[in-house]
Amino acid sequence: MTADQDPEPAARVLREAARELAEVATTLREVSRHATAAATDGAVHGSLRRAPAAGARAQRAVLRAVTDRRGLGYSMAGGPVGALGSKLGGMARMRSLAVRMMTTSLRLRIAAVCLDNPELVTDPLLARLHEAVAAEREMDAVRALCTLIRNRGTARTLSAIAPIFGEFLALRALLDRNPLNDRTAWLIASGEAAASADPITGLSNRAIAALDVGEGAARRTASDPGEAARLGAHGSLLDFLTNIRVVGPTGRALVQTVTGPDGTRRHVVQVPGMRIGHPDLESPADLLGAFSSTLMDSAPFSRALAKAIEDYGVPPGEDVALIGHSAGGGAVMNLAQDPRFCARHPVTHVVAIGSPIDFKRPVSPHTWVASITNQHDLIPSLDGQGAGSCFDLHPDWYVVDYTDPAHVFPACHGIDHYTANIVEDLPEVRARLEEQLRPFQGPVVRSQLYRLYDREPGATTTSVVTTTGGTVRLPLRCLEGNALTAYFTADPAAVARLPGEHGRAVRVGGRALVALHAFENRGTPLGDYGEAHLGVVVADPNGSRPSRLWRELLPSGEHRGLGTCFLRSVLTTDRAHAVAAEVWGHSASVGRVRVAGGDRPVSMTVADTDGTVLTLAGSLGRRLPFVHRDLVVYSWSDGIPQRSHIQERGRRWVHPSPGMRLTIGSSGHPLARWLDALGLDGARPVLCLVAPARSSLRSPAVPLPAH
Amino acid sequence: MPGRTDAITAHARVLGADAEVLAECAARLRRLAVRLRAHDAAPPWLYRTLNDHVTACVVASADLADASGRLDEYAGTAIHDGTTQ
Repeated sequence: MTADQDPEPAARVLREAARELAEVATTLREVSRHATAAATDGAVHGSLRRAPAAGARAQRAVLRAVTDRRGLGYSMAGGPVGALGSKLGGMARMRSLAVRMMTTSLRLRIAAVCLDNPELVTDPLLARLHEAVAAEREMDAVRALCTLIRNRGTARTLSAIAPIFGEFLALRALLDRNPLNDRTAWLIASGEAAASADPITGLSNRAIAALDVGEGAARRTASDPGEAARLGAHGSLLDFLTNIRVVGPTGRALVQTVTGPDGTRRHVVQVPGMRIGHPDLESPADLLGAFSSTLMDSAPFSRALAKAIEDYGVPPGEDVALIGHSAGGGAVMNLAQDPRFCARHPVTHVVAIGSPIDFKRPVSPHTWVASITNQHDLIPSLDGQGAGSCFDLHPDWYVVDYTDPAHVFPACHGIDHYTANIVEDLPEVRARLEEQLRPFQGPVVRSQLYRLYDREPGATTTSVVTTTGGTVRLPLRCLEGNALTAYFTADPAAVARLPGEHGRAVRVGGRALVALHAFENRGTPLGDYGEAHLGVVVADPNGSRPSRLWRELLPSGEHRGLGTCFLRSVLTTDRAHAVAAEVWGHSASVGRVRVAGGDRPVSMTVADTDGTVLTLAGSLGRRLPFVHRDLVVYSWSDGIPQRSHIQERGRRWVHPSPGMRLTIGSSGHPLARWLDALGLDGARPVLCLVAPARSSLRSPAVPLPAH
Repeated sequence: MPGRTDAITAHARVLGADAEVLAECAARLRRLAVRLRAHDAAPPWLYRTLNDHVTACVVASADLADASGRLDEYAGTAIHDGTTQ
């Protein structure tokens, strides 16, 4: 086993040459952009009438410069025309000199890694794969890879090619016909930034990472007796690594306070890696969290950790060390690069083990960062930089990239293996880490486990709530019923003028979305009753970023930010009214609600003692089956937004072109007045959703924390 | 049309400077090739590949210098014709 702190001089020479070639390639690309700009500038064409002969000569010369196979090659780049030309060139395999230069750089990087890992050359199957990729024989490369997997199995194949995985993918991406992966290949090869897409398909990693939404939340949780006995009572490198192993990839993190050798109280946050299994839209430490922690500067994972630290009560100004494994390393680096967090809590140490953190930067230059990676572990190279990197991205970090051919991925990614390597095989690394973490060595005086969430979790257990209308068991279950929802568009200014708080209205084509919901509920603990609600579709009241409609539609209701703020409600029974007002905080009154027809045509009528409030009637038009989504409901209580959600079961239809019309009745009910203020008298809905037979479960309202 | 001719002149200036940058790149690659030629660790294909890159940089430099000169000439002619018309 060797730690790659002082690589063989020969490998260093090749890496240095690869870096020089990458720099020249980057220069060539910049030159290509300039030449493309000259070739496509309207000003150059615009003066042709004045000097046609000189203009034609100039145009020919510029075009030759960006297409000469003996010179810059096919080098269209930059701007819309250049980008299109570049993609077309890639599909036709017309290469630029910049790309040829960068592939030479990548081949040199692979050659450098091969010096440290001779099996990459001596193994005939690996050598065949390597040669096929370098010689642009795509089908041969695929065949070689298939042979490798067939003969060695997937795990051993991945382990074998892990040290050159990034270079291998980048090389292939630069040379294949797929224009979508060229940018990420360039990012890997030039070391400019984290790989932004899958180097094979070109599918954007950021698009995947952007699915990871939520403000982050943390709840104290007790360790089970077996865990508690194994969690360290003393602060030391080995104890911290053991703690991470004990807590495991379970979506939890540990915060501890130690009394250092100088008697000073310090805090250590220990964060395991990705929770095993499919993305669960609950834990920020799932697969999506691993993506977003690597690619984004702030993600639910790091925001949940910040909330755990705040809840723990780490006093501002006291030293904090952050230790993370795998995705946990990315998450703690995100904390270290968060100016607001670091202004409260000085992060003195970050230790990331097996984590892709090459493109993270701590806020404070005084933060000591250690990155420990095994060259056969694929995870640290997910940001595009692995064992073959020729860029010294962090001369001020303590970077250990060691190799051990005996290791097989994914086993070598486990915290057990890293701990064993550090403790047993890399004594100088262990000594350095222990020396740096000496201020955190001492007795643990406090310890708290946290479970991390994407969003504030709702109540998962049933509870009984007392209202003026009697007691009710929550979540409220409705065994059968039907529902009609009509969406209208309205002037956002008119929505903003409505009294009360309703959050940030979502706009579609510059218009706000207003919803009319009518539910008929049978077989509920409240008896049979109907309800109608006027609402506005709003973004997450705590969302720090502008809502993206497509992204918000994906998670289940419990984890989605996009919802409907109920402005006025009508309930058909006193008991249901009491629950709506007191449990969910709705501005509600008692009246009559009727949904007639059930199919098409259909009508919705709401009335009170004063007369008809509204009538929505007409044909529903064509229908399509609709993917079932929960409804997120917001309300405000004492200025604090509250969220609940309604889970529904049963077939649902969407009617994209309803022929219905809304008529406001003669009642002076606020719902009628507000519909009038929104200019919806006589309006046609833009969309209707119908659930002819449904059951539902409505969660209690959860106050959202101040943001 | 002074705006257009100014833009053409600006392109000419940038491409002229880029021609010099590429000449420097060629010199840098030549030095790199000399350095690596004597090194045992250099792969057998490297020296020839680097020489190809050097040649391409020289050709590209010449192409850009030519394009720069032609654009300059074009801008000058357009200005002249514009003022005499």
